[in-house]
Amino acid sequence: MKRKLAFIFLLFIIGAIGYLGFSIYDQLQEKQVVKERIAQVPEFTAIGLDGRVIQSNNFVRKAPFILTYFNTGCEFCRAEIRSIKSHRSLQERAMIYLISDEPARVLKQFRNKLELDSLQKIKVLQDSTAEVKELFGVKGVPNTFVYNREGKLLKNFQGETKAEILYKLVKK
Amino acid sequence: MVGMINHLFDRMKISINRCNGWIIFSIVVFIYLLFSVIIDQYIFGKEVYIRSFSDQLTQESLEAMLGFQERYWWFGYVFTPLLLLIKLSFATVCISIGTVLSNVEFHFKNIFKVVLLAEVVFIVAQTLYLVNLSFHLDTLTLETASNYYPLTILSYFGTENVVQWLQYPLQTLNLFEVAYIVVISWLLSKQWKEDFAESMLVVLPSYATGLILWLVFVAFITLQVS
Repeated sequence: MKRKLAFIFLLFIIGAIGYLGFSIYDQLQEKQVVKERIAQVPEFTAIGLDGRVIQSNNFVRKAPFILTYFNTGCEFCRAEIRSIKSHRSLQERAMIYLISDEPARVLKQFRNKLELDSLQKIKVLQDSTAEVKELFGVKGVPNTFVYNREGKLLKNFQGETKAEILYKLVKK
Repeated sequence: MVGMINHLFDRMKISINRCNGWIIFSIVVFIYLLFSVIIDQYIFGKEVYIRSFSDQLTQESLEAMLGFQERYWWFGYVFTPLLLLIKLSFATVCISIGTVLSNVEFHFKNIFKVVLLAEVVFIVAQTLYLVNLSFHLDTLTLETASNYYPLTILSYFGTENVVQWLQYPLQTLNLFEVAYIVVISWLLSKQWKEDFAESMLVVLPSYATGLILWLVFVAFITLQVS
């Protein structure tokens, strides 16, 4: 009986190793696919807080742009956005898109509270279908993607990132 | 001479059977709590956190993080005994499976005691780690701290050259793990009067299987959150 139990336990452990190992392989493959997909700005749509649909190819103009995926309840996201808001040089150099999958009403309240509506270079967008989240493989917030004027990804920052660091990248 | 050694081993067998597992466990917990105090008070002070995060975090977030740590400093201390108990029990279960499948009669309690005694290997490793860290306090960051764990595969490559999800597994694969397996095998062989090599053949595959499960689990979780 003891031997049978030990054998079942051993099979369980080996099964768990196999399952986790396969999941790791699967996740690595998925990460690689995402990495290749976002190396150049992918095609996607997001909704402005005025209700207009915005295409990603409109992002690529003659200036670099920053796409920050955030959540209004996240303290680190708020700190990063406040840092971006107070960095005038960054706003002169790049267009900043703050995007979230929360309802438009919540995002409007957030925009008003942080007084972002008066800033020309910072736009709050809604990812209503979580398409952008999926496309960029966002698992945690804030998640910031810095693109150059040609639409090439310069760097992806996971977690809060100071505006100074973003500025160093876009001013090159 | 041989007679003396045999006598010593016989006494060791008796003393392992007699010793109270909970007393040894309490001593091990006490030592690990002491390590935690040293780490919190003298190694990973505020300066290390500021050095590690000041480049990326804003001042307000950094202060919030340090404030959080000051409020919940006791958290790690409370969970130390529980985590240690889980770790030791897991190793004991793995080795027990090995002994049952090899038809070796052993009480779970005795294997647990042996695993507990073998923990001295990791206590030595942790002591060396702390000594090593204390020599690098001026430049230490949370990211580079893993580099100073002695005799690991990670310290050979360096954290900066290894992807995040592989860092913990490569830090865990070290010579102390090998020593741990050797010590457990040796202590068990003294108990059941078998050949050391035979004991190794039971302990090595069973412990290694458990360790692999733990490492793939941590790698899986790291990938999930990153």
